[in-house]
This record gives sequence, C-alpha cells and structure tokens, in this order.
Amino acid sequence: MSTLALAAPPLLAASPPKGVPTREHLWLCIHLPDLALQARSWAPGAAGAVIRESAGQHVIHAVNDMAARQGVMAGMSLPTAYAVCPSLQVQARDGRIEARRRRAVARESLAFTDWVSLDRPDAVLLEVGGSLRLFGGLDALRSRLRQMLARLGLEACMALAPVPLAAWMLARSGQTVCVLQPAALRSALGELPLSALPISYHSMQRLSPLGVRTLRDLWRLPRDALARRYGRALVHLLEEALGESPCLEGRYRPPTRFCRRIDLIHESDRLEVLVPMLDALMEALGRFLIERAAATSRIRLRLFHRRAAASTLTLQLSEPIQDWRHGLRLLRGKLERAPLSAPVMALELTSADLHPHRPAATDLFDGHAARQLDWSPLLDELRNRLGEDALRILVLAEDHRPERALCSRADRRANSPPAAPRPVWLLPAPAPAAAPQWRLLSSAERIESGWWDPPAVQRDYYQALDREGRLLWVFRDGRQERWYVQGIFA
Amino acid sequence: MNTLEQLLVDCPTLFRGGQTAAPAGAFLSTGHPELDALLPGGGWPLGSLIEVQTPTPGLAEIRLLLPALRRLQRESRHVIWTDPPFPPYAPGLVQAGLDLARLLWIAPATPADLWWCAEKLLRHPACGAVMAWPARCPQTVLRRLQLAVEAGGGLGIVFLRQVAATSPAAVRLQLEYQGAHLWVSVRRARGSWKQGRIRLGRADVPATA
Repeated sequence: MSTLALAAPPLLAASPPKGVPTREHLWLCIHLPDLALQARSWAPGAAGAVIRESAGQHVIHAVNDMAARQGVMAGMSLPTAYAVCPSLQVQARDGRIEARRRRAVARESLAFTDWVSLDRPDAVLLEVGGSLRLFGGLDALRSRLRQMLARLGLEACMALAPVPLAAWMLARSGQTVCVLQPAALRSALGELPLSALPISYHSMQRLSPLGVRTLRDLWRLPRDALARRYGRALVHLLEEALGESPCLEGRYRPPTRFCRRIDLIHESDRLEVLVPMLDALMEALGRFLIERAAATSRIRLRLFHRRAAASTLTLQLSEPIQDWRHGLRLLRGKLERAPLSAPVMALELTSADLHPHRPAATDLFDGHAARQLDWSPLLDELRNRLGEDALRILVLAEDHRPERALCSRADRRANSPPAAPRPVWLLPAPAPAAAPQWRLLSSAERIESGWWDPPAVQRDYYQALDREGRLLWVFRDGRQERWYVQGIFA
Repeated sequence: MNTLEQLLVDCPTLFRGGQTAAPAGAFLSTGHPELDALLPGGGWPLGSLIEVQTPTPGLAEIRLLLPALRRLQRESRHVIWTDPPFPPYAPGLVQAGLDLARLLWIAPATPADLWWCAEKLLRHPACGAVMAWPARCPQTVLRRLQLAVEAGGGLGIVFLRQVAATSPAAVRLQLEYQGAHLWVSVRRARGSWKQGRIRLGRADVPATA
C-alpha cells in the first residue's frame, strides 16, 4: 500500500489542472455563521442560545456572546447548558426564518451581480468577477456589501476565491482572504482543517486515525487510494475545491411579483401617517424593479381596515415605469382624494405586472424626442385625476356607417378615411330636423351598409349651410324620409 | 436731441403710438396670409393665449386654426381638445390633415378639472396646442392659463360665446358670419395697435376630402 502511495503522483503535483475556471470568474462567499442566532430576536444583555434536535435530544446549536462568556458552548446538551448558565434563554432553531433572511441577502445582492447562489448552507455566493470594476474594486465592493448586511442586521464573514466551493470553505473557516488566482488556491486552502470540507462527521472520524488534520495532509495521499477507501465523492470534492473539476453553481431567481405589507402600530386614517408608509413601500418597489431591470405598468395598493373590507387603489400606467417617484406621485394623489371608509390597519403594495425595462432613448441632437420624454407620465397624471374614460384617443375604424367609424377596437382599425368629405365633429346621435332651414351645397353621398349587423343604414348625405353660417353634415334617411344633422365641419 | 426723444431712448416703457413694437419670441404662421399681416410677428405668438369669440360653436374655428395645428403636429407636438362641444370625429380629422397619434380628446367632468388639466398640459413642452370650449371663463383662470402657456411655449386657445371687456389673452379674435362670408376680426393683438377684419372665406363652399 505504502509503495503504491509513493509511486502515485501526489494530488497537488498532478498534471496542470484541467478544469480551471474560465476567465475571471470570482466567487465571493458571504458566510453567515450566526444566522441561527440573528434570525431570532433576543432581549438585550440576555444570555441566549438556539437549540436544535439531535438524536432525540435538545442540543445547543449556537450561543450568543453573553452565553459564551458564561461557558455555554455549541454542542452541549440542554440540561448541561442550564447547569452552566441557569438564566439561559433558549429558542428553537427556525429554518424558515433563516431561509427567509438568506433570501433577503440574496435579493439585495442582486444589486451587485446577476449570479447569486444559495446552494451552500448558511451562505450566499456572489459571482463578482464581472462587477469588480463597476463597483470600484474589491475593497469598495466589500464595504458596500458590509453596509448592506448591516442594514439587514447580519454579521458575516466574506472570502473570495475563483471557485465557489473554495470561497465557501474559506469563509466558513473564518478566513477573510482573497484568492484571485486558481494557482494560489492550494496554499490558501492547505491549512484549513478537515472540518472545513462538507463531509460527514463519520468520514471525518475515519480519516483522523491516518493523521490527516488539514486539507494539505489529505492532498498528500494518493488520489486513487483515497477514492478506493473513502469513496469517489471525497476526491471529487477535493478536485472541485481546487477548480480542477467544474462545479455548477445554482442561480438564485428572485420572485417576479412584488408584494409588501406594512402593519401600522396604531390604526389611523390620517394622511401624515399613511403617506410615509406609502413612500417606504414605493421605495422598496423601486429597488425591487431596479434589481430585476424591470418596469411595472400596474400597481395596487390595498388598505386594510379592522371591520370593513379592504379598500383597493389601482394605478394603471400607460407605459411601464421603473422610476418609483413618478408612481408615488400618482398614488399619493389617489390616496389623498380617496375617501377612507375606516381607519387603516395595514398597507399592502403589490405589483405583478412586470415588463423588461427599456430606458427611453434620448438623442443629443433631437429636441423633439427630448420633449416627448415625459409626455406619457403627464397623461398618467391626467388619467389618474380625471378617470380612465376622460382621456380618449381617436382611431379610424373600418366601417361605412359614420357612427361606427370611430370605435377604438383594434381589430377594425382602418388606415385611411373614406374618400368623401367627413366633418370634424360628429354629433353623439343624429339630431332630427323637423323643418330643415339650410341650403344643400353638395350632391348626395349614398351610404347603405350594415344590413348584416344592425342598425342598418340607408342614407343620403349632403353638406348644408345653416342660417348661422355653419357647414353641417346632414342626411336624409331613406326609410323614414326624414332629415337629420349628424356632423359639423367647423 | 430734445427731451421727448431723450425720454423715448431712456425709458423702455415708452413707445410711439404709430409704430409696432418689435415682436419678441416665436411666431407660427396662421396659414391665412391676410390674418398674418394683421398680427404682429406675422402669426400666432407661441407661448400665449388666444381668445376666439364665436357666436355658435362650429362656425369655422377649426378652419381658422387648422394650418397652425398641422404645423405643430409636424414638430411632434400634441394637439389637445379639451371638452369640445361635440365629439371629434376621426375620419374628418384625418381628412383635415391631423395626426391622430398626436391628438388627444379630454372630457373632464367638471370645469375645475378642465382648468386643472388645461394648465397641466399647457405647461408641458411637448404640448403644441390646447383648445377649450368653456361655457364661461373667469379672468383669474385666463391669467393662470396665460402663465402656464408661457412656460410651455405652445398655444392656448379658448373659444367663448361671451367675452369680457378685458382679457389677459395675447390675441383676441372674433368670428362672424355675414353676407355669406366668414369674417375674423382682430380685436386685440399684443404688441400692435392694428385692428381689422379679414375674410376667412365664403361659408357656402362645400368641404372636400
């Protein structure tokens, strides 16, 4: 066995690494060691511990500083911990809250890169190779990430490596190092204890009698022998950590629907209370949209009341927007004018109608285009105050019957108006004229159409001058033998 | 140089009654040469309010404004019809040479809404013209609209049946029908003393497509 081991080339000196990560992939791992603790809230100054269940027993999973000072350690059984520290506050570990906190970190991280992975436990991995330059270098990026984590109330250990597994192992071992070159991975990882590898406790127990304490010790062993005795998986893991075999890192996909709710401490129907809440919600929506490079065309605000049904304010925009300030202005206006039926308990803002954001193209030399820029926001503002129906856009429709030629259904749009003259104004309904006092100016235009789709018309149209000097569009109904005014040429 | 001449030079608010002040700002031809000749600057003054008195809605107000509206639309500005007396009719508008994509019909529920949205629109640089047909229009509203249109640089056009003796509008016109002709009287044009009446055309000429 030992001769074999000597004959085989050592793992690290093996031929040039095959699967070296291409180009400048760099993985930054945010390891959250105290996530279990920070996911729960604690009374200030209290000794606290999170417990988990292990083999039917409650075992301390994590302890805060106060508890650690009094001698409580992770791995202790609960009775032992109570014996050491009788005032210990204990909370069960809540995987759901932890997952939610981790997702929150992932969501915020999307502001820095588009490839965020939640594959590794207690950690969030960011591919930052492409964003280092944008954010002004590693130090600047790290300080921004730290600010982001502080905002979320989390403490983290960050490490950087060209391989996700290596970055994760470094961060998990509390090493805030930056390894930029794959070649430097060996020396960086070599001193890590065996426990840094994601292997089972059992495997570790089997390795320790060999005198293997660090990863370097492990690499010194021949690869094929290692595979034979401890399984191919272990060798794979080692190869993966050095970037010799590729590892596929998952990609976190953020939810495509925004929904956030704020509960008020006291019910209120006062705008000075509600408007700041709305501001906060809209700002969150704005961040949400920027992270996804998305825009929304429909925003719904629901106001919950204690005894009445929730009231809903819907904002429909003519063009998807990303700028939350515009949406806020409109929604504020709506809220200010909306009669509140009862005091509000909670506000909920939802937006499911996401579109890819297309920034407006601006032309340096074209003043017309620049003028058009905020035309549709203005229309939104008008529509918002005057109502959906107050703003009307005119289209031509394909129908010989004059009153049907202005419908806004898209399927019957026409490209050109009829050849015969048409008035600028059309009366809502033809006005019967009992004793016509006008002079006919043109020859008749016969319109006979629509027998398949009532009302059918059979009319002779004329232009006529009335006594006030107006040019009218009049017709004589072929069936009723009566005169009607239908339009004014103006 | 005598004292009077000296005063005319020194004091910018003094001018000779006979001469027309040099027009400042941009003007847009009305498309009616005789009317252009009457108006200082040779056309509608952009960024100002125009008041048109018509005895009855639909006399010829669109015919009067149409050339200017078409020009404004060609400059990719929008033309807005706020609360017209009758619904605008798309085929007729297209025949008149207007671009429906840059035409908006707004039907506000109350006069307050009408003035609010007219003011909003007039302030916007992409807005070429706002036309309104109010039943009555208080001086304060006209003044606000004048300020708004100065900011936006378009045209604000108010059609009224009854007009007050004074008005902040830069141009005040009157449309009349008399002896088979349509007449436009310039009752006031800012920067000019000229008053006069021109024939817009015969009223009994049928429209052509």
